[in-house]
Amino acid sequence: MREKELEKLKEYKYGFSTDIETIKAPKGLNEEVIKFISKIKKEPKWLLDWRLKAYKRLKVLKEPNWQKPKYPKINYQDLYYYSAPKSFKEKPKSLDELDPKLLETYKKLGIPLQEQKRLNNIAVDAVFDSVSVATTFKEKLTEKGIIFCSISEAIQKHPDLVKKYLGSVIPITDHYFATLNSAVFTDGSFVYIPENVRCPMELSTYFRINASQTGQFERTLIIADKGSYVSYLEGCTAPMRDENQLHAANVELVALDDAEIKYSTVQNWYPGDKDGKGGIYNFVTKRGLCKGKNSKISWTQVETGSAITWKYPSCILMGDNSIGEFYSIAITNNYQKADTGTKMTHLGKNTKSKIISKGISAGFADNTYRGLVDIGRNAINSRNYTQCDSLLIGNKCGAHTVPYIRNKNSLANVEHEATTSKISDEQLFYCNQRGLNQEEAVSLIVNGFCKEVLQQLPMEFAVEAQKLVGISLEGSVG
Amino acid sequence: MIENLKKTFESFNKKFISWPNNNRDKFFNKFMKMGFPNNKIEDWKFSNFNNFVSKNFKSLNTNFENLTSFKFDKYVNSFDHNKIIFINGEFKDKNFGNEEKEKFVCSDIKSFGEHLRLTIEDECENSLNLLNNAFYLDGLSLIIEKEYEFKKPLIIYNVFKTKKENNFFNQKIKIKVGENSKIDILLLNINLGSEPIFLNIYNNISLKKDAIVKLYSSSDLGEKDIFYNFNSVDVLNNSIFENFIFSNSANFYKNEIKCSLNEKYSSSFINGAIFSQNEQTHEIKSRIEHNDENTKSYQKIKSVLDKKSKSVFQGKIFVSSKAQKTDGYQLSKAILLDKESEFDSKPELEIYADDVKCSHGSTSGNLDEDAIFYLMSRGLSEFEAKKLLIKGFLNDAVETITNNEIRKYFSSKIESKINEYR
Repeated sequence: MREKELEKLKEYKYGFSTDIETIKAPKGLNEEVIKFISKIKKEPKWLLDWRLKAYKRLKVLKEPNWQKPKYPKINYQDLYYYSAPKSFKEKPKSLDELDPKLLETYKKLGIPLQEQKRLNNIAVDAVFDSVSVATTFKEKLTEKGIIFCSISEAIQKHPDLVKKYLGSVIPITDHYFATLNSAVFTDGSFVYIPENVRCPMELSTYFRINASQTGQFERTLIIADKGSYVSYLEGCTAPMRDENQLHAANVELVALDDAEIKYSTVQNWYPGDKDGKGGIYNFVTKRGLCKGKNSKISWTQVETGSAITWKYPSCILMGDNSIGEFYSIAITNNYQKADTGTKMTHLGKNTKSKIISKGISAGFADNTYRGLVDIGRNAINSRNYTQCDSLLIGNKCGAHTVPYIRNKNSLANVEHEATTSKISDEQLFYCNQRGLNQEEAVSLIVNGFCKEVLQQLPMEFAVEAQKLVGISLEGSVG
Repeated sequence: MIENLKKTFESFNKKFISWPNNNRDKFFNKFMKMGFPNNKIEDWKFSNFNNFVSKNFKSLNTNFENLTSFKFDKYVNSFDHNKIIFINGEFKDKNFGNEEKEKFVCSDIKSFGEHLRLTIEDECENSLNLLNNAFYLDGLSLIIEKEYEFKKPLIIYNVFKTKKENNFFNQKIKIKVGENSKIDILLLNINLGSEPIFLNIYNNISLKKDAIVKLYSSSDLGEKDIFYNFNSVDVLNNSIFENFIFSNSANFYKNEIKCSLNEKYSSSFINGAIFSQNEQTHEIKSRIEHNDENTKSYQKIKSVLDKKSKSVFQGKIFVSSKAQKTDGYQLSKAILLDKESEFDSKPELEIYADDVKCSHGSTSGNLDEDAIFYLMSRGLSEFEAKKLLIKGFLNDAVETITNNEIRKYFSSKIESKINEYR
């Protein structure tokens, strides 16, 4: 029995769960639960009203159904919307007070929370189920005036900033899952970079779903004030469970004049087992607003986990001369399904966007790139370049490309190209000849195929992502 | 509009109630449930068809007992050809010169009795096809035996000049080509009158082994006309389907192609040139299904847009898991000449086989400033330089036409359209 478990864990090394006492909100979705969440988090009244407004809207909305991957209907009443370690009733003031079990969990995941032990220069905000457990390097950041904390803390300490920007990019009347998040979001990260500050280190959030039958609804808000720069990383894992778990996060980015935000994600939620049982439904809304002139938002994502990935990190290029970028690798194996891409909405003059998407599917998986490039009437001299390449391994999987291109401006240039191919026998033969076995060869070739995107990741992440690419495709050949 | 159409249908259907298996009402009821396509439907995402109908027509009428006829003799004179002539939607005349008459059967659908089979087999979800099934009156059935190659191309003249009580025409064209046979067809839709018409044509083309069909289409329609053309094409072993569309007239023009490459080594070539002006909306939608190994498809669509016009290209390459070694290519390029034009495209790939070569590209932008400068430095005015560049741009698509006579026809037609351009 034990061996079987170990065998299972080999496939997905983050698949363990932490046995920890939790406080949960009553099961189900209703006004009482929302009030419960708001109360336990000691939120001001305006936020509760905001949540209730979103909930009212949610009751009218219908779940979207145009996506390629279909999933069984989610029973929203059968979920817990809040789950937190019991020791969190009063948030621990320092790491010494933190439940050792939690520390161990993060150690196992390779996310050391003890600052002195860290070599890498990365500040981490760790989110466990519904609450943020620790934020590291806080003092060093405070010196520069940077605010990096959990969103619950920000609501208490910086209500003006939160009030001003929360929901300004993803309004509560957006689509179903975004509205659901607005109603029940529990925690997440908040970042504010003051004027003309270049954030000295990478900021990072690590999301972990632990409890079963729990949905994770976190909300991230990043504001880069005039002339500032920040690079932000996001990582995620979850235990292996036979049920499907819902993860519906909202991420809002706001870049003011001359600011730059770089947002990188390595998503490794539990993808389900070989037969497609279990796994996370990753229905995330990510949207960045280039509000000021010369601002820039760059999304980089490596999507290897989740049973279903359904997300479109987007850029609204409102300020003149603003730039939006999207680099994506989506790898699907076994019965995983991904429907991902981006939306670039060009509103300002001289706006530029670049989309590089690499999709790899193996096993019985389906991988869809779906994107929109919309050039508005006033977006003079705008440019877009899109490239999406797909790689298929085996003939039971699918690779699809669904780009929407709307050009309403004669002075704008839009280019789109896409190719689909397979790993050629010659490439494999060449690698085999040099002494690599079949799996190493595939991993090498796939990494080469993804190189353009991997290059965009911060160094520490790039190494991890490269390994992940290899692991995700294990067992897909031969 | 819809209520009006219901009345039209009721009086139209009275004449067919006595027919055996008349199921027009079944199709019409299904249509009534769906209504005219609007932009909530994925295939019509970029243009709201409903608006075009209500903008251009007070009511849609088809009253075939009152069909008027007239003499038409403005034939294409640049090359010899076989003729089929439709006047106001009715099959009027055919002239196959000295082709071998026993090798093919050509007849109108009205008298051939083909109507029953045609309607029953079309179980479709497309509301305009349903409307075609409910309202079609006439059309063409051309069945070609095996081993026959037509000596001359066939031109189908579909000419209209009508009054208000007849402004809605539904036709069906069915072409079956036998083994190792070949035919080149040019379909011309012409509206000579001043009254706007709504023309809805359903083409069903099937190719047996080693056959070749080249289908070209062009139209001279009025400023308020609506034209919807649906092609359903089935291609078998080693046969070739070639299609070229030139779209320049009508207020709304949509050409939809569903081409299934069902057996090995079959191929299809779909090319088009769009030159839209004066608030026109022109769409080309294609769906190429690769259902077997070693099939090939090639698409090239070039659009030039001016004067508040809009053009749309929705192309899809579907590759089933059986269709290894597929070669699929799709390119759409557009030039926007004025600020208020809009080009939308949705080039789609849906692939389930791993050993395939599929690619698509789509670009849109303005004319190349450097090229204009070069031509002006050689003594051309700016306007002449632009015209020359547009001609070159569109000719790239015209050059894919493999029938020399027809290529010249399109080439000179596009040239004269560009010369008219102000």
